Amino acid sequence: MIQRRYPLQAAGAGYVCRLGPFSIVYQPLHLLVAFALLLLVCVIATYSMTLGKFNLSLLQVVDAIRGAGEGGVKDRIILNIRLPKVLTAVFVGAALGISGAVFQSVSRNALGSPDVIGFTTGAATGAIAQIVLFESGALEVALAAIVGGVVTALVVYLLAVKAGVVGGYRLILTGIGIGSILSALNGLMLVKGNLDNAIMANLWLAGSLHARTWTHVYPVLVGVVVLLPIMMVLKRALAMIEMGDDMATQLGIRVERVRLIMIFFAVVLAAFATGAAGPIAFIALAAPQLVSRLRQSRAMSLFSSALMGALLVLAADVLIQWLPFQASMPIGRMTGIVGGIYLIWLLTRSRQF
Amino acid sequence: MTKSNVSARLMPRLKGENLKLAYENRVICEDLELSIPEGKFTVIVGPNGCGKSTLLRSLCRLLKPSQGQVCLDGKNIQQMPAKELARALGLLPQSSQAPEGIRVVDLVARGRYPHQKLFKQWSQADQDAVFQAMADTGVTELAERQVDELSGGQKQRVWIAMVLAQQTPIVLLDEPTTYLDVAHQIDLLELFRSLNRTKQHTIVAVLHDLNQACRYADHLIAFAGGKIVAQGEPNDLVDAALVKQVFGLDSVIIDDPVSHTPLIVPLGK
Repeated sequence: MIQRRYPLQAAGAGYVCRLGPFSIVYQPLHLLVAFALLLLVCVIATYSMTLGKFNLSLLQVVDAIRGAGEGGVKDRIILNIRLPKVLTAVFVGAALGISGAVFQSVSRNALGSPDVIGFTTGAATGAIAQIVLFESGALEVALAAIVGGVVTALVVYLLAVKAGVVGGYRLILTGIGIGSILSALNGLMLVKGNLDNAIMANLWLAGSLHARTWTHVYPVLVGVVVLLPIMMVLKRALAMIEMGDDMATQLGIRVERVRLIMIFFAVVLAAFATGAAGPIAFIALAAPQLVSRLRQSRAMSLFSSALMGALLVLAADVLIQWLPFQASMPIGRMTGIVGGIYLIWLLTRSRQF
Repeated sequence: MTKSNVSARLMPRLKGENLKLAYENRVICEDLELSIPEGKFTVIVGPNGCGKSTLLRSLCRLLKPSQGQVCLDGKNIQQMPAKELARALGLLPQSSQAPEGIRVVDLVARGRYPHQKLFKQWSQADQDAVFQAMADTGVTELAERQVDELSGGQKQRVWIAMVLAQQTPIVLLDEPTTYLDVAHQIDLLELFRSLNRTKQHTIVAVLHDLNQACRYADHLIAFAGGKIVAQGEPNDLVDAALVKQVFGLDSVIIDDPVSHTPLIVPLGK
């Protein structure tokens, strides 16, 4: 049974869906946004699989995925090259979107995102160290990125924590500090390492969806599929913490525990994403902000932010493939340019700064 | 038997036993015994920095005592499930931030959190409690306005409505009248008294203004130097010696011509 949540006239009150003893509150606009984003992600993902050196038709792509293809080279291109690449794009974007939504809620600040507060730089430090010092393969690099991101987060958390509490500003400022130290360290490793490795590391640093295989897809896919539902359960408590620690505590929320779990999961997701595709800038920052503008509500949304992140990465990838003269540009640079413009726009019209 | 005799015989539900409260290495108080009279409007007063807010925070688990315990119905509140405690004990903290763009009714509805579950997000009881709380605090007309747009006094009423929607028998208020002008202060204190009288809430407030405390409190706790200096009905309690002892202020106490409670008139140096 569906009814309005409040006996009030104005729109935006939301609805309650009741089934026996159970009830769920929802906003039609929020459902619409999520549904539209999901549709767009599916459409663009499928379309982007037709792009590349071999032009394939939409029909061939759909058939190959359904397992009804004609076999042969085209099917193998789709299933072994383009599908892993597109899935990497989708789940990397989703992981970054979720991560950004959590950080913006925890820090109560539109700038709170894992790339601004140094976690992605930390992941890069891990990856570069692996490439430059140990000359290892893709899987080890991905693992090193994850370890680097999580360790950086731990260090930032321990430095920002004061009497068991992490303030929003402290987290951001500590993160920026650690981030710039690490970024200097990254530069140093590139200069000091041997030339071939340094070039490899530089390529990785640009962020790329090039030559992604199923080994790149699985960690970030599993991360998103496992962590997103848990985080959606904890989301209500995290939203309460936005009113201040005291208020949330008196409402019966274990504030530090909820915050710690959510930050940890967000860091793991950001690290998985960086491990899979290198540092892709600004997705985590922009996705939650764009979602809240679409939904006309500042309330955090993990699911829609995930979809928006996926959409942004996919769109950037399609944009690159549209560039004339086969000018191949790493996706991290593309999102960096677009994201930078977006960030400036956000800063000029924000009331917070 | 008079009404006050009946309420005097109610057992206090909320008690602090052998409390030691401290921030890192700064000790606020030690060996403190405290009990909150049931069904009354209790006011805690004391000089700035004496730790009266700290004391209040310890009563609702915002501060864990270094020693001793705070008990609700004989149970240590540190060991109670968080949501269960939040259904028994509500607190209006000194400062809270309304999420950007939230409407009054949605903010008040957040007070229902301890009564809800993941898949029991909105019941008829939730709705009734929210609208009752808005009616009791006089913010029903503001229900669909954004909290950001309201004046300081209106905002404070909305926060109080939120805590009332929690429907806790005991309500703690940490300096609820700070930053409000005198008319809004009196307005809120009248509200608390009427909530205490008509809804039988046990109310504990930390207040700055001693005259307001004397006028509205059923039970006054004077807290200074980490000790409860005196407690009881304001009329039996407040004299020039106590004001000197607690605040270090010389004063003359006269009868408040309106409420017939002690009125403190400070002397100069």
